Amino acid sequence: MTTNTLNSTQTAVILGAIFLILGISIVLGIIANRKNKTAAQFVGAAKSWGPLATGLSSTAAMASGWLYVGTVGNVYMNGNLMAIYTYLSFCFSLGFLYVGKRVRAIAEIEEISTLGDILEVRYRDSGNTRKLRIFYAITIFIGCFSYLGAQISAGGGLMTYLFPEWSKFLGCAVIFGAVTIYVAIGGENGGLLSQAFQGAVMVVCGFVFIFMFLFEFGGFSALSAAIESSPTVTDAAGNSKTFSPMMMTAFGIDYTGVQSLTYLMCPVIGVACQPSALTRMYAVKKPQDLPRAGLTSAISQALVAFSAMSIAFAMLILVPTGQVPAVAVADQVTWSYIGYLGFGIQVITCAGIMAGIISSASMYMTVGANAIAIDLLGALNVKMNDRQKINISRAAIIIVGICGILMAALSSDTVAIIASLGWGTIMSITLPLFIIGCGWKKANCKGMTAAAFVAMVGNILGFVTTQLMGVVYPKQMPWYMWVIMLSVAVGVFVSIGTQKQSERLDPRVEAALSF
Amino acid sequence: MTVSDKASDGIAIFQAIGWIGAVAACMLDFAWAWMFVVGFMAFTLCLNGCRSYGRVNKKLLIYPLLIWLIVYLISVAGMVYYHLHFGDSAPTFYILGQHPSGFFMHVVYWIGGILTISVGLAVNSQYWCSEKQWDDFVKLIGKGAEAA
Repeated sequence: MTTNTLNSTQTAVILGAIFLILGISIVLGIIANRKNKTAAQFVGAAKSWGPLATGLSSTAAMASGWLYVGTVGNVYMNGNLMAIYTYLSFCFSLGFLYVGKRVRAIAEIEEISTLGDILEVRYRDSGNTRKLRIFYAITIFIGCFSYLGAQISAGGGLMTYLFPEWSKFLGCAVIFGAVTIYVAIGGENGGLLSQAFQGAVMVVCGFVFIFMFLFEFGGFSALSAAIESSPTVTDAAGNSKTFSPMMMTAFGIDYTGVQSLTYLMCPVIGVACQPSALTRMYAVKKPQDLPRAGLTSAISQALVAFSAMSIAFAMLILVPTGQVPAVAVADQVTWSYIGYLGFGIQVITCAGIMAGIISSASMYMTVGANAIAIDLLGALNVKMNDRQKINISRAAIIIVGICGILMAALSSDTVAIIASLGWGTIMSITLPLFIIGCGWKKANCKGMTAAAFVAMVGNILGFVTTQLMGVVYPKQMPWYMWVIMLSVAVGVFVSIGTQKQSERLDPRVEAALSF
Repeated sequence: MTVSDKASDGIAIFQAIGWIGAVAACMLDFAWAWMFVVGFMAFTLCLNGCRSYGRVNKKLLIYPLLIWLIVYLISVAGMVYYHLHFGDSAPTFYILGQHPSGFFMHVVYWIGGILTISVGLAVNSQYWCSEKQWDDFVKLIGKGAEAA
C-alpha cells in the first residue's frame, strides 16, 4: 500500500468517520439484541427481518473490502475479466428462485438456528446426519475463517496506511475488537442489522465514484477513446503498462475462456451458495419477503459494484491520458485514484471500504463461529438449552474474532495463503447440500454425506497442492472447480444409487419440498 | 407447466452433468460454448425451485424465467462473439460508447438480468409463493406436527 500524504487533521477526520461507522454498528448490535428472544434468533436471526434489511445486509456481506481494492486493481490490469464476476446483482433473486421458499419452509417446520439445522431437518429421514454435519461444519468453518482473516488483514492494512505509526496488530485489534464486541452482543441479528447500515453507507459512498466516472471524466466514450490506440505508459520507476481495447470486452484479456467460464458460473450458480444469500432465506419473516429482498440486493449491489468498477474505469482514462502516473501494483490503483481526487473523496472511500470490510467480517465471524459452536457440537451430541446455545455462540464468536485478529496481525503470509479458500470452498459444499438437495426429493443422507466428504477432502487437497506444493492445475483452471464438480456429481449419483423404495420423507419435509 | 418429480430427478442429474461438462469444456478448449449451458443449468434450477405441487405457473415461467433465459443467451452470444471477433484490435464500432462485447455485458447481461430476474420475481411474486399457498403450507405442517 502506498504511503499517505495526510496531515494530522485530515487523519483525524478519516478516523472519526470510521469510528462513527463502528459506533453506530455497536449501537445497532445492542438494539438488535432486544430481538434475541430465542437461540434461533441470536444464532441465526431466524424469521426476524423484512426485505429491506435483509436485502441490504446481503449486499454488504457479499461486497467485501476486496471489491474496492482487489477487483479494482484486477480490472485496471486485466480489463473486464473480473467485472463480470462483480456484476452479480440479479443472482440473489436467482438464488431465491432456486431454493428460497424451500429453505424458508424447512425453517417453519422446526426452530432453525443455523444452516446445519436445515441439513438436520432435510436429511434425517434418510439416515443419521452426524457425519454430514461434521463434514459440513469443518468445511464451512475453513471457508469462513479464511474469508475472515482476509477481511481483518485488509482492515488492519487500511489502518496502518492511515496511521503509519500504528502497528498492524493495533489496527486489527481496534477495528475488529469493536466488530467482535457488537457481534457477540447482538449475535446474527446484530450482524444483520449493522450490515444493513453498512450496506447503505456503501451505496451512498458509491454514488460519488459513479458520478465522477460518468460526468467528470467522460464515461465510456472517454474510456474507449483513451485505450483505443493501445497506449503504453511508463511510470517513474520504469514500469510499463500497455493498455488494449480488448480490456473493455466482457472478458478482458482472457484468450482461452477458462477463467471467463469460471467467473461466469461462480456468480450465476454460486451466489445462492454463499452464506450472505443462504442464511437470508430463513432470516425473512415469511417467504413472500424474499422477492423484494432480492430486488433490494440487486439495486444496492448494482450501485456498489458499479462504483468500484467506476474507480477502475476512471483510472483507465486518467493513466493513458497522462493525468495520473502509471501504477505498477494492482492493489495500489484505488489509493492512487483517491490520492488524485483529494481529501474529501479519501474520507468517503475509507468509510466505504471499511464498511465493506467489517460487514463481510461480521458475516463470516458469526457463520464460522456457529459452524463450530452449534453445528459441530450438535453433531457430536452435545445437548444445549437456549441459554447455553447463546453463551457458547458468544464465546465462539469472541474466540474466532481473537484468533482472526492474531493471525491477520502476526502472520500476513498465512492470510495470503489461506485466502485461496473462500468462495469456491463454500460453494463446493453448499451447492449439493442446499441448492440441489433442498429442491430435489431424492437427495438423501448417504449421497449428501458423500458429497460433503468429497468437498472437505477436496478443499484440503486443493489447498495443499496449490499453496504448499505449487501445483498448477491444467489450463490454469482454479482447483475449486474440480472440487465443486466432484461434490455435485458424487452427491447426485450416490443419492440415486443408494435410493431405497422404503425411504419416506417426513410429511412436513415432503410438503416443504412440494408446496 | 408440469414439472414432475421425475423431471426434478432429471434436473438434478443435469446439474451434475453440467458441472462435469464445464470442467471437460475447459480441458478441451470449448469453455466459451459452455457459457450457454450455464444459462440452462440456472433456468432448470429455477424451474425446480418454482414448482408448486408439480406445476410451474405459466406467468412466472414466461416472466421472469424464459425471458431471462433469452436475455442471458443473447448476452453471452454478444459478449463472446465480439470478444473473439475483435480480439486485440480496436472495434470498428461502439455501442453507447462501449466496446460491443462490453455493451452486451453491461446492458444486456447485467442490467437485463436485473430487469428480468429481480424485477420479474418481485412483480410476479404471488405466482411464486402466494399468501394462500404459504398459509395452506403452515396449516398442513401444523397438522403433520400434531400427527407426529
